[in-house]
Amino acid sequence: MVISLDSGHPTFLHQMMVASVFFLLIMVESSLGYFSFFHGATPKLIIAMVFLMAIFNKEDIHLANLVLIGIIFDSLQGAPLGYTSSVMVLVNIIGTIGKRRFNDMPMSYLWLDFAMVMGLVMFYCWLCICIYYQSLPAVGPLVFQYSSTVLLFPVMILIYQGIQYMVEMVSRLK
Amino acid sequence: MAKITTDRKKGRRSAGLFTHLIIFVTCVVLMLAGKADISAMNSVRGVIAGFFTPIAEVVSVPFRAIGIMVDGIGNITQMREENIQLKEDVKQLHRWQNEADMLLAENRQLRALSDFPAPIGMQSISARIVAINADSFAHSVMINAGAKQGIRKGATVATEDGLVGIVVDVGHFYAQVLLITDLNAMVPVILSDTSWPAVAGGNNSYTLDLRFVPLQAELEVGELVQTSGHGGVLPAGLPVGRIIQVTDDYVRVKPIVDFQRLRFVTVFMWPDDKDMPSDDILTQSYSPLPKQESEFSLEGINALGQRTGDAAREDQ
Repeated sequence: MVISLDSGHPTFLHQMMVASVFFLLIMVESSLGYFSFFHGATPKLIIAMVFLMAIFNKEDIHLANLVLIGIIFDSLQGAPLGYTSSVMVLVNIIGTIGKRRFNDMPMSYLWLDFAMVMGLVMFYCWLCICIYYQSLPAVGPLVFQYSSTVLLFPVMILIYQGIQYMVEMVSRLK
Repeated sequence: MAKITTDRKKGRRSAGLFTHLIIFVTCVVLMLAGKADISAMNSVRGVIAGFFTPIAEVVSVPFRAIGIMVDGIGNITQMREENIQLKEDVKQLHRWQNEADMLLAENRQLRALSDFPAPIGMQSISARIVAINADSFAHSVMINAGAKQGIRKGATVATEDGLVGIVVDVGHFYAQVLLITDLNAMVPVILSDTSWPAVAGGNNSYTLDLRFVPLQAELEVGELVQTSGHGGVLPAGLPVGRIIQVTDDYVRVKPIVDFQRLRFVTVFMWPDDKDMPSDDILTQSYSPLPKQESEFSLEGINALGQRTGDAAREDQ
């Protein structure tokens, strides 16, 4: 499967659209806590979306987008300001560096690569918690969060394709 | 010419990467600066959370409904077993109710005799949970009552079952509650049967760790753990959890409150405008008695942690 985003939109409009998708995702992610199944560790959907957008969007995600969305998310989640932003920037760096390599990859390989990137992200999160609180957190919720995010990655691809389709429809209507 | 274009591209890419790295480091620094509890950062957080919480509340409505539905479907399968268990429990409860009525009457008589002060009347406000923040970094919930409703930082949050957490951040119309399962949560507790003091700490999972348990303590699985009231932030006697595992290395406590089905909470506050109760109130706090007189307990220490009676006289 090869995905590519060819929006052709001006930069500002494109960034606004990216910000809207991120905003909606953080709201959804905040609401997932209502499912008793996810209580304790909701999947990091936003990270999967940043990863996909960093790879397949022709235009780079603006750093201000990542930082602002991260800060809003941290304020809602009660996490220290800058935590989610740093994770998002980290994933964006990885996605941007490996853009060419990831771009033409079959879905299964991309999934595997995302699993590895997510592993790195979770290790970073664990490290942050350790440094910030100077205490070792339970690993169980982190592992659960990792697994659920990786398992939901194909769903995120479908959502991303849906957004892409909608953008194309709108641009054609224009 | 082609070489110059390639070099320019490479240069732009490395400049972009450099900017990314700078922003990444800035974010990390910002995060670590949060540890310093800078008031400006707290204000920014408060403003942002205050602005976006209503949106999160609206977005969460369908999720809340689906969550309740999914929970309901899951519950049907357990209903038969639960029904049998509940019938047994009802019988047991009836027996306990009779016993409790007797003890209540006896307690009233004894209090009247010893002129024991009445339990402290704390102000209470009911609130609904509007956002459950279930990230692995922090275990907290957002409630739809804030400074406007009289909520203050440090207020105790509980349900009819037991302790939920403590208010750590207050906005105009919302407050953030740190759950007892959070890594930062430390609750001074006592064991209900033996009155051994300890500290129940969260570890970002479903259970709590019992720390600083005296070596002499004989712990039993199923024993109730409740707040001791020491430190003066939390009222004494609130159920926290039950011991579920005792090993040489750790003691695990399962919280009494089912955090997965948390919908409404009650916020308790001390009656005056201060965040911390006065010394007078603290000294009146409930002070648990040991099961047997010979056992070690909080004897000789009041709710402020000061030595009283013979011990205090010896100090002098």
